[in-house]
Amino acid sequence: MKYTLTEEGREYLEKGMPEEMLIEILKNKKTISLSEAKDIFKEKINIAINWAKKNEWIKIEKDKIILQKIPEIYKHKTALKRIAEGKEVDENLINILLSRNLIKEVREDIYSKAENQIKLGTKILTPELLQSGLWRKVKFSEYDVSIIGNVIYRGKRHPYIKFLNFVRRKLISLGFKEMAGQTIELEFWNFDALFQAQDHPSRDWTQTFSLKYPKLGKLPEKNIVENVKKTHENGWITGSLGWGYKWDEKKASRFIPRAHATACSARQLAYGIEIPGKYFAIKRCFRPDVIDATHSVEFSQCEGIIIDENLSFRDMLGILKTIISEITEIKEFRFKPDYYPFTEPSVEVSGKHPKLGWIEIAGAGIFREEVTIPLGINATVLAWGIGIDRLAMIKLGVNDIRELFTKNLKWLREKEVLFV
Amino acid sequence: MPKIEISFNDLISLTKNSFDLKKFEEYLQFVKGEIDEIKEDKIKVEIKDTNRPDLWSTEGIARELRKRLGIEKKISKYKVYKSNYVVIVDSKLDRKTVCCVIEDVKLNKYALEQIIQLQEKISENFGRERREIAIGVYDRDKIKFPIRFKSEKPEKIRFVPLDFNNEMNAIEILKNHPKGIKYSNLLKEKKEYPIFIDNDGKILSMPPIINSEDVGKITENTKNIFIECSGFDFRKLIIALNTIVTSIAERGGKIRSVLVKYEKGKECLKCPKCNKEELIFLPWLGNFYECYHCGFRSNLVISEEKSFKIITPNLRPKNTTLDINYLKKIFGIELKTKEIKELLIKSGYDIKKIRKNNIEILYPAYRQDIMHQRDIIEDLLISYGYNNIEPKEVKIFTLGDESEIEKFSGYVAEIFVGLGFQEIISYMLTSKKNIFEKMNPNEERIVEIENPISENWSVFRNRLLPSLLDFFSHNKNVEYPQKIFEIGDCVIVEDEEPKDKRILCVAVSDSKVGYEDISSYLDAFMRALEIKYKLIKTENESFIKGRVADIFVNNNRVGIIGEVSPEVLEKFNIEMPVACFEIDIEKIFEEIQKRI
Repeated sequence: MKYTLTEEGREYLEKGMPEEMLIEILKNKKTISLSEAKDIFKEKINIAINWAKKNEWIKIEKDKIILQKIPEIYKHKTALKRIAEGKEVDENLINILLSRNLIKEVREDIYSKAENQIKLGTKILTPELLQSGLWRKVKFSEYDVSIIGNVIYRGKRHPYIKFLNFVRRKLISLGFKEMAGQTIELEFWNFDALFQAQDHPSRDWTQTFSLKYPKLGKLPEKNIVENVKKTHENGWITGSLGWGYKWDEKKASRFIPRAHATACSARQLAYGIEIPGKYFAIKRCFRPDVIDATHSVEFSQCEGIIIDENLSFRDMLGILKTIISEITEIKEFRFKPDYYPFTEPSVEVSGKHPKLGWIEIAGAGIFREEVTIPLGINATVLAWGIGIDRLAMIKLGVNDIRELFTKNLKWLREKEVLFV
Repeated sequence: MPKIEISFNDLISLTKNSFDLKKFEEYLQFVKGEIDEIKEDKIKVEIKDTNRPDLWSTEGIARELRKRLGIEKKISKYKVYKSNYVVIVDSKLDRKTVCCVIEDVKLNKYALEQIIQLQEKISENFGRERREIAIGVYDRDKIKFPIRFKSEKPEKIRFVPLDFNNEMNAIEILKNHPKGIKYSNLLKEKKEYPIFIDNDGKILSMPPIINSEDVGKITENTKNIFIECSGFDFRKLIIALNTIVTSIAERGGKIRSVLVKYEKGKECLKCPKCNKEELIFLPWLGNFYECYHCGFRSNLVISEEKSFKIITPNLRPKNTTLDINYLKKIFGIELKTKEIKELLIKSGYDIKKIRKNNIEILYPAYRQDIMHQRDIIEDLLISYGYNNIEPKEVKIFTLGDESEIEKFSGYVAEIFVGLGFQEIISYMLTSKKNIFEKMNPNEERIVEIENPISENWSVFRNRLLPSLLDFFSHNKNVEYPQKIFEIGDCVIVEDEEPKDKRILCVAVSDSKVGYEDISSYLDAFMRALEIKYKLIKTENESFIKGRVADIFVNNNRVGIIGEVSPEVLEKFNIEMPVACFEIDIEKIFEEIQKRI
């Protein structure tokens, strides 16, 4: 059986055993008061007195400790020292040291492993060396501490997602609720409910994809469909002349990849809106386009609506200012007439970016009554949309929209973005 | 969005004002336009409003600027003079037409360019690539009236088509003439083709394909022109005709009406009040007509039995009412009546009568986009100037919140960031090659685009793993291990209905990585969410046999885990083993919600 020192054992070996220290004090003074000894030894006082008494080195009279004999050697300490050096020790002494909790057993295999490691000239610290205490015999080599080890990478979220989440957080803090939506929409929600006439250029303000499969879906509840149909055909009760054509249910039933996030707003208006209310969506949209540094067929749009009984164009400009100054560094704005088939009046917002100068940021407007009334809404609805990818590119410092979906792992590992 | 080319000098002379290019750029906001390209005097302008064809010409832009800049302070009026021109539409023909003559036109180089361009833009854009509207402009002096609009067997139609010098029959035109090739599908399966033919039997044109080189060509020397718009819907045809006529007339000329006779039965539709036959058709008011003589209005029922006669064009200003309180509500500004009046004039309207609560106004013939008061209000806002309006801070109190699935996705992402994974994102659009061919499984039905711009963007992904493998293949020289994950939407088809699914895919690629490693990560994920799950041996074409399992939660299959097969890795050109799992996290989220 092999032994190694416990933490207490190592302390005594270094500083001396408590009973030894007591004798050293008494060597000069011969006697010391108990209270004085307590001050010196604190919680070790009992260990010191008991072992000194057991060996008849001292006696206690009233509250005084009196020296009786100075030992020639401290056997326990010598034994501790031998064990620390890996030398043989008498079994009686081992039992005493074990009972004093100054040494502990080391498994034979660990000990021999440690011995073997030393034989092989180990330079590194091993669990065996530590458990056996044999590390004392090893001289560890010195390293060039200026050298850094292998590069490691932490787990990270995608910078673009971080940006979208930052925008999401800002909008939530402004009181916007996130809307749901489907990637594959019915033309009904993408176009018809937004008063874009079938077979008419009002459906061309943006290019759209069509689907080979699946082709047709189910239209919503009959009353919604009927209201939209009548509004297209003759304006219904919206105060509009309508487009004046025969609305085709089948065209509205066609599936299409969502071309704008406004489709989500149309659904939200039809199903469970609170007045007053604010809603937003950040969604992937799809449009056929040339793919280059600033165009992609798949991109994200950030879209929102604000609904209340009495909202005006002035409110529209105000809310745009608030949102944009929350999510960008832009503080100066310019408004320009714009066209969307579903909003009237419509506005394009530009802002003065501190580095890039004037840039287009958002399109917005008040939903036409031909949009809101058929969906059962009599309040005013302000709608806005932000080309969020452009802002992401600025924030992430990339010049190509495709880099938002980068396949460059090195860039992702190294790119650090902070959003505050 | 139509892009039109204009001459800057021509624009300045038509606007009757002088300004530089910089000013013009600013003025373009009045027509919702943007400069696309400048080549010396030629400027390409993009007009955003797809519902204002009256702005798709130099004449139209100049007209708008004259009002907005206060150069012209009255509504544009176009007098239409009576004439004896007649066009007879054959009863068998399914097409309709409306026509006009303009005499004493002044056609310079710019005017000709604009006529051709406007004609093209209207028939392409408004006319849905000529499917709905075809427009022809002819030299009136070469035509012997009355004109007949009828159909004829293709082999019997013979004339010299525009820009050619030999006579062809209709079949040859569709085969050999560039316009014939481009638009031949519009006449497909028709036994007879429509033609305009004059009283001498001379063919004017074969709409919607091509005019004749002889009559259907106008030059700077042409003095008088005949215009026809043909198609199927009167409302659209009238828009096209009014737009083109008012645009040409901006440079001068005398507009003359044409009587278009629709020959059906022997009996002819008559005004119930004065018994006369000539009518003015007002389809935008819900198929109303107005008696040309007494002005009586009635609903027009077109039937097979009755012939009818309409006089085109009708260029009288149209009237509507503007509610003053509604106007103020949308503006959000208090406006004085005097201010409203000024704004109306600046926007090209005329005031008929001002009442306490509303104003009766007139709008010009070229405006066909006005459907609702809002359209007028926007015009007034533009005249007021968007930037002259002080934005108002909106202080509506509402509670904001993130959608449940986004919240949960964020939580899942946090778990994998904690496990040392890099998040990646990829496009939802991909190719069948990536999803099927490279991944090995048999093709199944997925959402597919009909008009893709390329094969690489032609289907919606139904799983994420191909995107992650593609990612690995692009990073072969980057330090391993590579631990990545993506949380994203896939589209699956259930009962012919496309549906979004929020999927999580986690993959590790390293020189030594296997089932054991990836299952540890799956276990860490499931423990984090306190979900009990089972792994049940399965077989899958994309994975190594015996090293793949279905992931089950509560007897529901939620995903798959395994080592990617070397065959698949080779197809993706990946040279390191990959272990991964893919999970429908909406199903996991449902489980969690059941607990709450």
